[in-house]
Parts: sequence; C-alpha cells; structure tokens
Amino acid sequence: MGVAKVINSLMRKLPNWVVYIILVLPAVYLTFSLLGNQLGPDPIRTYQHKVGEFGLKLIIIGLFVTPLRDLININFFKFRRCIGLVAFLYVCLHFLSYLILDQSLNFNEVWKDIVKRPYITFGIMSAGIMFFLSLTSNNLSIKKLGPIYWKRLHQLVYLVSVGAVMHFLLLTKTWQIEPVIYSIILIGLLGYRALKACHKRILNKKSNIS
Amino acid sequence: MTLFRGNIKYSEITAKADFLNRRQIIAGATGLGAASFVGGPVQARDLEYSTTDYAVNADITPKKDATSFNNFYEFGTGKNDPSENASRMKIDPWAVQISGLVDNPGNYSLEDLLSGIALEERIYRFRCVEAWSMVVPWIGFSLSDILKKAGVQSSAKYVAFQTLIRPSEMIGIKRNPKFPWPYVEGLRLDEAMNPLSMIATGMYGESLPNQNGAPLRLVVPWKYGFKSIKSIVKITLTEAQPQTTWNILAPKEYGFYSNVNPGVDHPRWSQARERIIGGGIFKRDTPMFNGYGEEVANLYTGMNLNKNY
Repeated sequence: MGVAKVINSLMRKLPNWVVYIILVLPAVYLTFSLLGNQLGPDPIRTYQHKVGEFGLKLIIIGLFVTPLRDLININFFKFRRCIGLVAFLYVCLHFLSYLILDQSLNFNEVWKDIVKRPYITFGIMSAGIMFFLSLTSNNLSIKKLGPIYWKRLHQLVYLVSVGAVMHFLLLTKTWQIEPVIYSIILIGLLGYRALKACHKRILNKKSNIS
Repeated sequence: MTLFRGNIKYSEITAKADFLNRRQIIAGATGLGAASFVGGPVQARDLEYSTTDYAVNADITPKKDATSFNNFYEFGTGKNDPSENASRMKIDPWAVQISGLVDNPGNYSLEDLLSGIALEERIYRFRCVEAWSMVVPWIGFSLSDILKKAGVQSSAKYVAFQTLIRPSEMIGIKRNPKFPWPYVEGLRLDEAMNPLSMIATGMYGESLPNQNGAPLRLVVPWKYGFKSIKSIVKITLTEAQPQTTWNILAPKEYGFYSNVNPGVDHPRWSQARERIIGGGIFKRDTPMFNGYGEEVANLYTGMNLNKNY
C-alpha cells in the first residue's frame, strides 16, 4: 500500500500541463522529422505507423485508469482527459498524413477507401467518435449534458478502442505479433469492465431481493 | 530497347578456383561463421560486367536503402530483419537443382550454372505489392540463358522456382513455423523466356548481399516484387501452373500473374500510386506493367487482367 500512496501523492503534485507537454513532444519531433525527410527510407509509412501507434497506446493507457484505481489503488484519474485529448491529436496527425501524403487531398479516393476497405472503415469510425468525445472533453459539456449522459457518451471510448485495434489487425499483410498483443490487452481491459458490470448487477439483484 | 554487350567474358574474370580459394582463406582467417558483415569486403566481391541500355529515367535508390529495407520473411518479417539476420545464411557452396521437362536435369553448382554466361548491369524499376518502389542497378543475365542450358522440352509450359529452406540459418522460419515454407514462385514459359526476365547475381557493382537474395535471384521488373524470388535452389519446368507462396497465403489478394497494374487494386489498398523508397514524402503514379508495357504487353493480349491478377 505504501508504494501506491507514494505514487498517488506524486501524481497529485504533478501539474496537468507538464503531462500535456511530455505526451505531445513525440508528435512534434516526429512531424519535424517527417518534414525534414529524416524518417528513413519509407517516411510516410514510418510516420503514420509511429503516430498511429502512439494514439493507440494512449487510448489503451486511458483505459487502464479505472482498473488500476480499483485493483491496486493507483489513481491517475486527473490525467485521463489529457491522455484522451492527446490521443486524439495523434489520431488527427495519423489521419492527416493519410489524407495529404497518401491521397493528396483527393476526398473521392478517401471515400472509396472508407467504403471498400474494412480496416479504413474501422479507423474512420474510431476517429469520428474520438472527434465528438474530444469536443465534449471539458467541464462545460459535463454541465450541459449532465454527468450521467456525459458518462454514457464517453463510454463510446470502448467502441473507439475496438475499432482502433481492428484497424491495426486488418492492415498488415500477414498476422503480425504487435496488433495481436494490443488485442489481448484490450480484451483484458474491456473484460474487466464487463465483469465489473456483471458483478454490480448481481449485487443489485441480491439487495433488491433482500 | 537495344542491348549493348561489352566484350568482357565471364571466363576473363578471376579464375573460379583461385577466387573460391580466396574466400575460403579469408573465411578461415577471420572465423567468418558468426560474424555479421553487411556489404563488407569479404561478402561482397566486385563483379565484372558490361553496361547496357537498360536504364530508367529516375534516381537510383540509395544502396543503403536497397540493402536494408527488404522483405525476406525467412529472416524475419520486419523491413530491417533481413539485413540484420541474413548474414547467417551460408551461400558457399551453392547448388541449383534443375529438373522437370528439361533435357539436361541435374544438380548444378553455381559455377557450372554461370559458366559461359556474361554478366551485364541492368537498371530496373522494382515495384513491391505494398505500393513502394525502388530503382536498382542489378547485375546478371537473362533467365533464358539458364533455360537454354537446361534444354527446355516442348511440353513445358511453366517455370517453377524455390528458395532455400534452412531453418538453422533462417531465424524467420523458426519464428513463423505456420508459413508454407519453402518459398515458391513461378512464371509462364513465355514470361520466363522474355529477355527482361533476369537472374541477378549482383547489384550496385557487387555481388548480392544475403538480404537481397544471394547468391542468385530472379528479377521480373513488370511484376510485383514478391514474384522476384530470392536465393534460388530449384528450377523446375512443368506442364501445370505451379503454386506460388503469396497465392497460398492469401489467394484473394495475390494471384499468379501479379503484373504491376494501377487499374487493379489490391483488396486492401489502391495500386494507382507508389511511395519512392529513399525518395522523400511524395508519391508517384504507378505505370502499367511498371513501365515495361512496350516489352511485355503482348504477352497478355486478350487476357482479362482483372481476373488474372
């Protein structure tokens, strides 16, 4: 318990803006490297893959907040909004590199891709939901929507995470280990929540009966 | 496209026996077995070859990119894996088994296979199915030179190829046991006899690095790169169309012909444009048959290339 207490007090002292800067730095570095053609032989793919993976990692880290708090009492809840918003930043960079460098702003081709290629359908779906979640990631939205509806809306992050992992799974030529690992982690994180919800329902039933 | 052949004959190059001895002496002296040289003085010998008119109106891909950005899953599926792991492959001695519908079947040593054949440099476009491309100065000769040695019989309709399979030296085979190893590929006989189809034994003025398919590989520039099978150990002349590995792995995505065709998309991505490896962040339009239509389009007249992808 001592370790958790120490970590939590450190988190309390750490200001949000520092975390924003730390998380955004890789995006700045990667984008400048891309524009300066410093990303190796295949810079478009390298950039897309790296910013995409960062976005996915942050989505997954955001989903760790609740289980870590429940199971080992480590609380980094206050950084969750930052994690989510920066995840969306990486997703935007990922999508923009596709739109500009791959498709040269040809929206007709982009639409064809969305419709014809399942991995892009999943990607656009996740990115689209993230857009709305980002728009409502502020106190004003919580006030306007009310905490219950706001929470239900933001539970759409589960759909975002599944879509993101499906996007990653389907885009490689053969089965690769990386997306499979993310799938396993995600199944764990979502499975935890499913069990939690089941457990709550059972408890509610019991208290209703008695 | 006219072929200019210089007057350097293969026989004028360093006598084979002396050359082999040199490598063995150096290998013995440095205990080469475990060392990892990529393109270092021992593994890449300077080749003697004549130049040709095979050239492309584009920059040659930087050698370091061509030798470190590779798909050679026998050594791992990452783009850097082959250059990191392929040094373990022993390419000397090497033999190619020629069999099937030929007059002169047999297990040919590399020296016997290449004897009497002059090497020339051909700068070809190389287009991967993953929608990236390179321009590579290959060194080799037309595949038809070897097929003539083999004595192709009139009943033969296809040429089948197979890559080396040696798990002890190929870490990718151990990592991916479920793949249908060994890697196999094939061409229709007229495609194989086309002068553009070449066997490459070198690139960038030196013998092939292991990760590029040493000691000999196929280069079929108007088809997607996976058809250009590497580290060949078997050539078989057959009547029936041979199996090809990527078609086994994903038949809806990779067909037998796999001609570069901007009008026929891969199911998961467009083939209309390509990224230029080592060439920055701008893409180029992919030309039909990778720009070799003048030489090969007649092979496919009347064929539905959407169905025969």
